[in-house]
Amino acid sequence: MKRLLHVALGILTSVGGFLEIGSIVTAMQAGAEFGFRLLWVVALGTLCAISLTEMAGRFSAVSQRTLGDALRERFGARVFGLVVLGVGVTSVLVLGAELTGLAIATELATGVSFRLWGLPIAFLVWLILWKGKFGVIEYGVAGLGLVTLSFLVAAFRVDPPGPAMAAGLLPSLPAEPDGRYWFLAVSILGATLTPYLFYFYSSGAIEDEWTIAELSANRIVAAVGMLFGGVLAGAVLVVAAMVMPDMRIEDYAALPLVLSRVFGRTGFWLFVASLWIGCLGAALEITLAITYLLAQGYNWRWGENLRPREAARFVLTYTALVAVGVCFTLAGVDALQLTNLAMALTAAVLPLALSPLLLLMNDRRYLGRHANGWLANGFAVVIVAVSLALAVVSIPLAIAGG
Amino acid sequence: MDIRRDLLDMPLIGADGEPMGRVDGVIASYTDGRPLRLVWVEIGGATFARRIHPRLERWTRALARRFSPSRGRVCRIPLSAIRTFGKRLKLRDDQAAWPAQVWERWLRHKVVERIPGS
Repeated sequence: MKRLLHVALGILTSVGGFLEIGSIVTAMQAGAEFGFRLLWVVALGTLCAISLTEMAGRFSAVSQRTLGDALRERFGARVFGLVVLGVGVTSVLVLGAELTGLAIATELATGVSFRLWGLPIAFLVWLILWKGKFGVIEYGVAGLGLVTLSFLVAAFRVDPPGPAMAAGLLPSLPAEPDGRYWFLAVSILGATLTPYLFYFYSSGAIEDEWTIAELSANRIVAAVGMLFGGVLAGAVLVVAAMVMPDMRIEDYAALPLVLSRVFGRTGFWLFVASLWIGCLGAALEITLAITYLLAQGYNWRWGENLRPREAARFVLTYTALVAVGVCFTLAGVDALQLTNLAMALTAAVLPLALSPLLLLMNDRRYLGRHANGWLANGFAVVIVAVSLALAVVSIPLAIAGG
Repeated sequence: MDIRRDLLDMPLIGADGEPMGRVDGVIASYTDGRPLRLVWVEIGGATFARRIHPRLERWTRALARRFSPSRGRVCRIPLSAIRTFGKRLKLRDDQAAWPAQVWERWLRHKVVERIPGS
């Protein structure tokens, strides 16, 4: 039973990776503008996320170290500094987008401008981190995150054509060069393969005191958790393709249409609840992931299960991150533009975050006989190659397609 | 001992298991004709910054002199104060790494403990 409950870590990680504002917006834009044609990107992102989270969990369960620890030990100050800078800056942008998404969901529910919700939302996120233990966050977000299953129900309700969906699962090129198509493809992968996901999952495995005995549970948790998110992100795309065809979504007020056109007024509330809990889960996850990375890299005392006074630098780091992140909300930054930019930049720093992971997964000093085999390595090399390609094209596409 | 593999960037743990930072730098002494002898390990933001870029070290040092509770004092631990080497470097007693904990203690007393629920 205890091992079954580990799935909560997978679902929490997945909610923060797949069902936050980045994934919801990019999947909706892809479905509305290109029908099912970008479904393959969601599938590819899901496969990559399953593989990478399995590696991150295996690394921590076997070596009893987090990725942050090992990154500093194995690669030294420069690489660690570079990863913290790259992953940190892009994650703060994503955090800004998530807090703004949370405020927007609250505006949709109350009619009061999202900018006014900035401070109460930031306080709520901080309070959960301050008072909540890791298990509360894990099971709370994973449990409430089940509301996002409404996207799956909607996908069945709209009765999409099977052959067209199956064709969408196969990679396809646009008939003529189309910057927007590739920009959305890069953004979907950027929204799915966010580097903080793996640092968070690795730290979560240590917070949950995983050992080598959890290796098989880790495989199931990674697969179930990421499939949960991937299938739901796919469902968002499918529903958007069916109910919002040829629509360019440039205003967040249009977002709830994806469910309200299926379920009416109930759909509106289901969307608001899904966006709210998805963004909350992602905001908690990003804040913790970056704080973990710093605390582990400098060997401070860390952990959500400690009292705040027992880990002063840890709690003040997440406090500062929430304070910086909410500035985007208070400034009234365009949420959709910020989301698209953050996702494209996340894709740009992916090689920086993934290459050390691949090297660590082959280091037998940490993993012994549980180091990557040829299959996992082959897959990881493909992922790093895809991430390198994404890095090269993401910035020009952000300018051309965004 | 391989300095890069076994010493640099390894975590230091106090006698009671408290995390005490990481080895940011090492100091060795050299006398003509004799092998290099490791004397101290250093912990601190400025030492870490030096390994990234000397200019970053100057900035960090200047900031630490002005704002750090230890007034930029570098934490140097004699190698003899390390009891065990391995995945974690365990100290004989916490006194040696006291300056490395100055920020943690200062933030705890001056900030965190003043917030309700800490």
